[in-house]
Amino acid sequence: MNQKILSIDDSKTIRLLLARMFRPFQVELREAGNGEEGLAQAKEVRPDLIILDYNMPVMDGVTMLQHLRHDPQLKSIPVIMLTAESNPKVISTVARLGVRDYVVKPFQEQALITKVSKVIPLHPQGTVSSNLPS
Amino acid sequence: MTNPLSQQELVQIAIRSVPEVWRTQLKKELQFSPELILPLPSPHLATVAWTGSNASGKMVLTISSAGARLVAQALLGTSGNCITEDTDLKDVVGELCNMLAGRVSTELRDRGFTGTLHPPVLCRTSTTVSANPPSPTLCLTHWTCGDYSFTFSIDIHPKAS
Repeated sequence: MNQKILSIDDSKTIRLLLARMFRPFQVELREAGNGEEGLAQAKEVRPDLIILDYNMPVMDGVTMLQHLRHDPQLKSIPVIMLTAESNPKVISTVARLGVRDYVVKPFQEQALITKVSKVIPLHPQGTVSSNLPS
Repeated sequence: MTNPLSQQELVQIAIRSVPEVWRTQLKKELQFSPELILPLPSPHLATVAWTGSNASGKMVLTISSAGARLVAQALLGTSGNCITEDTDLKDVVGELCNMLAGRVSTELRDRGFTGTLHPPVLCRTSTTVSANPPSPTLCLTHWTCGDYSFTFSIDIHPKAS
């Protein structure tokens, strides 16, 4: 079964970039343009991982993360931050909210794939994936 | 009140930051030009504001439509073909400016100026970027990558008390 990743970023460019990066893997990528849309998508899709921007209109990444952590149905979804913001206050705030990793833009694509693969299994397209023990 | 950083320091920050963003995200090498080689008629312009406790400012990226298309292709590969609308090109330029501003913000923090970034503001401008405006707080740098040129400026000034 495909892993579900929810990409929340106001930049279509980043959403397209992530779509290109994860195309070789058995991943179903969903998108949202801000934190509010992201919360709605998270409730609907129940993703295995959220890749979250910080600076967004309507609802920023930290506010979205706070809502996520207060929702019993969604609070355990792992989150990786992907943002140009490297302010230590922001980093310590999201660390307290339990993000799994923090990636600062610009970023090495392979480094992000490696970080994602530590959170969810990434199987290349065309291979048989199974959760059953061998 | 004195300027937080000299124009020369800001130029050095730009010279370290801009090629790193191009190399990391676009896999492209850049050439720094002391002066603008070609004028940029009606370019895309993205501005990211930066606010710190003792200083504030902005970073501005200016690039032609043709340049923005080449950037989109380098960044997105065949997915770059989806970038056809003017609004999408603006988004590419805005995201690149966001990354540049993030890199510059890290350099500013290393010099004791911690601040936060604001979302990019995007527009098209009718002005032709051709000269370094005389301002003690602004550094304007010119760059070439293969067939396109662009400018990146950093303007950091002390906060009014």
